[in-house]
Amino acid sequence: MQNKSLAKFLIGCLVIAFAFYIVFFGLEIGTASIPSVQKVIRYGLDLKGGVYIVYEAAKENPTRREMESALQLIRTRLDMRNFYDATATIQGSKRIRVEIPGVKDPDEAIQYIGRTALIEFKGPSGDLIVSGRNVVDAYAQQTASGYVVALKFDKEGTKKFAEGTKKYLGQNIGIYLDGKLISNPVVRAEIDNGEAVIEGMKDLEEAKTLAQQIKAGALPFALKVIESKAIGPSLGNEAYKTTLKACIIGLILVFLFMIIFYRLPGLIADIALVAYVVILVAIVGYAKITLTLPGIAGIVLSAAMAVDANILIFARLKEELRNGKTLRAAMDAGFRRALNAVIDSNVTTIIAGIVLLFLGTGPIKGFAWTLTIGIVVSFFTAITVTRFLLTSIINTGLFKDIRWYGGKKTREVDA
Amino acid sequence: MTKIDFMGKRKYFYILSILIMVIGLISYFVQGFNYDIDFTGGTVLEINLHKVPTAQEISELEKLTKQITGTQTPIVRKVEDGKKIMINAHEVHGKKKTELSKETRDKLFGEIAKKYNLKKEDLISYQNVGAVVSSELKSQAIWAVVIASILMLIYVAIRFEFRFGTTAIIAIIHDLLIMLTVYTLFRIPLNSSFIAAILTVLGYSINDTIVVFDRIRENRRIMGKMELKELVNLSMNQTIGRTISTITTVVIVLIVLYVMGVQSIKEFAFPLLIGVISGAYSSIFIATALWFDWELSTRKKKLQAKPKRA
Repeated sequence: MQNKSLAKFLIGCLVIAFAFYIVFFGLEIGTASIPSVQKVIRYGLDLKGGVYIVYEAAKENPTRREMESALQLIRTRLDMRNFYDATATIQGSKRIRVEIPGVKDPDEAIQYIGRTALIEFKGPSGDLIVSGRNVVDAYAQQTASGYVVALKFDKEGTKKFAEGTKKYLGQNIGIYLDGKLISNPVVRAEIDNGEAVIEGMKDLEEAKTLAQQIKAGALPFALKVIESKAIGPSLGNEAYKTTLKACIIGLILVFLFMIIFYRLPGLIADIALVAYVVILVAIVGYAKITLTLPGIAGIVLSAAMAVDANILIFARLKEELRNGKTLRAAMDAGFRRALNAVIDSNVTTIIAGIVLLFLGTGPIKGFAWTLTIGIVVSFFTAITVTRFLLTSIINTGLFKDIRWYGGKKTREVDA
Repeated sequence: MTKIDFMGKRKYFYILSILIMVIGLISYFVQGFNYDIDFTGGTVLEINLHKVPTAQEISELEKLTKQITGTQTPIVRKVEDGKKIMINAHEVHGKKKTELSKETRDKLFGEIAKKYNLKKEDLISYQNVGAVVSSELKSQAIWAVVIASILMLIYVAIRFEFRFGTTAIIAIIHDLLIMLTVYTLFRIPLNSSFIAAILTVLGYSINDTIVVFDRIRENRRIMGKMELKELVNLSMNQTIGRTISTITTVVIVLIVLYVMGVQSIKEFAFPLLIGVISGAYSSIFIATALWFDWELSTRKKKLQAKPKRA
């Protein structure tokens, strides 16, 4: 029983240490490998530097499809500039938020990305046949011959396109976005009804992308910059370093505090806190949640919640020991009686976190994410992990003196 | 265990809280809030001067900003080690305040660069926010607090009772007002992290309140006949150790963040620090004390009603 308990305790600690190693240093066995979290973590602009821009459609109630075309346009442009790290997302019903890390000249990027798209259909010799303004619709379709992009022209476009297809029958007509060739289909027939089909798409995805790119050229609204921010990379780097250092020092001080005031249970709580940090960092890193400065604050604050749960439990444990209970009984009572307060306090904080998740934007969302996930994780580590480790260590029978549990005078208590 | 008569001293703490809020109110009418660009719209520039500017220089910089941009009251403040400054400014077009155009921004930075002999990269960052975003942020902040408070009230009312829920929410509002006092008194810029700070403090505050209420609920069950004042004092004394421990750990972390952090973290950590302390204080001297007074007055009414029936 006693040896088994010791083994349980040591195995528990080893699992946590091993997980810590994998998450922070990565692991390679043969060909399989898990990258360390530093390599996969996605840093927000405030930690890395760069520019973010929020565009708004200059039109009342744009449709979802129009917004998706605009998004596709922006993505294509980001790719054309080799901003592969950049992200663009639709925000609400009429906004697009773009984040480009590490960009040097934010003004130029802002200008370029939000410009109205120029789609042109050009003949082999580069002469303009028809422009994107005349495209009424473009959409992906699945037909017997595979995936295609269907095009519809307006009246003027129909006429021009009919002339073009007549002239270049059997040759290529290039489709250009901002002067760059994005598709180069061959004209198979003269099209005079204004409805063309571009064949030979690899899959639905490719067809959709091309359709959206073409549609962007006919975007019926301009994109207005309503918010932008540029952060120098040195500031981001410095912010990250100092905040990380502050967090580590803060955690170490909390570790010491717990050991000094709660002795053995305090040490156990510290081990559980390490488990908390490992699990949370792993979730943030591998689930690709963008880590922002407020996000780090969220992690630290939920860590404090985890500590609070343990303090509640240990304060009870001390009380029960004072009332003359055995260690096991005191511990059980401590966990049981503190549980209500721990659950209630966690739920109320989660309520605040979820409200922020729905109402907040940008960096505040980062804070809400880490806070909410952090509280769920902290609930697990502060209750389950702490209880498992504490039960095992008490059952070893090695720590019977009440001073191990924060008592003032030496007194042996039964396990 | 300590034996402090918390409830006997509650009047003094009511007065203390009211006093702080009056100070906040006066400060609000005298100097208002320091609305950051997130709330007003405009541009904020962060510039590395490589030297700590004197008060004289700061006011010169403000004059210069006013001259170039037309901002009525531009704000120039030192940040971090004091060698960097942040400038809040906007352009005025009729009634609308807008962010600075690239030309105006370049001109402003150019003038400052000339004066302090700066390079291009000393313009560390700049941020433009339109008026639409800022008005949305305001309603977002208010809604976040209102919705979170209502949900918490419902939760506490279900888990405990309506009276606990109501007094817990009053304590939250108390903390909110204390935090607003801190923001206006110390001129901390009100920006989007302000919403996060407020909501975190609300979450914490109710956390502390719940721990105390939980103990009262439990003690009421096992010590049915104890006098109310004694019961509440006992519950406070039983939980005060935990409250102090928890606050200590949170305060340790926040102080480290404040001392070491960059500007945006500092502006987040300081109000949080005050709010968390206020939250612990209000759980005892506002939430519990009010609940006690409320409970006491209904019991008195019941006692008065009894002889009439007899």
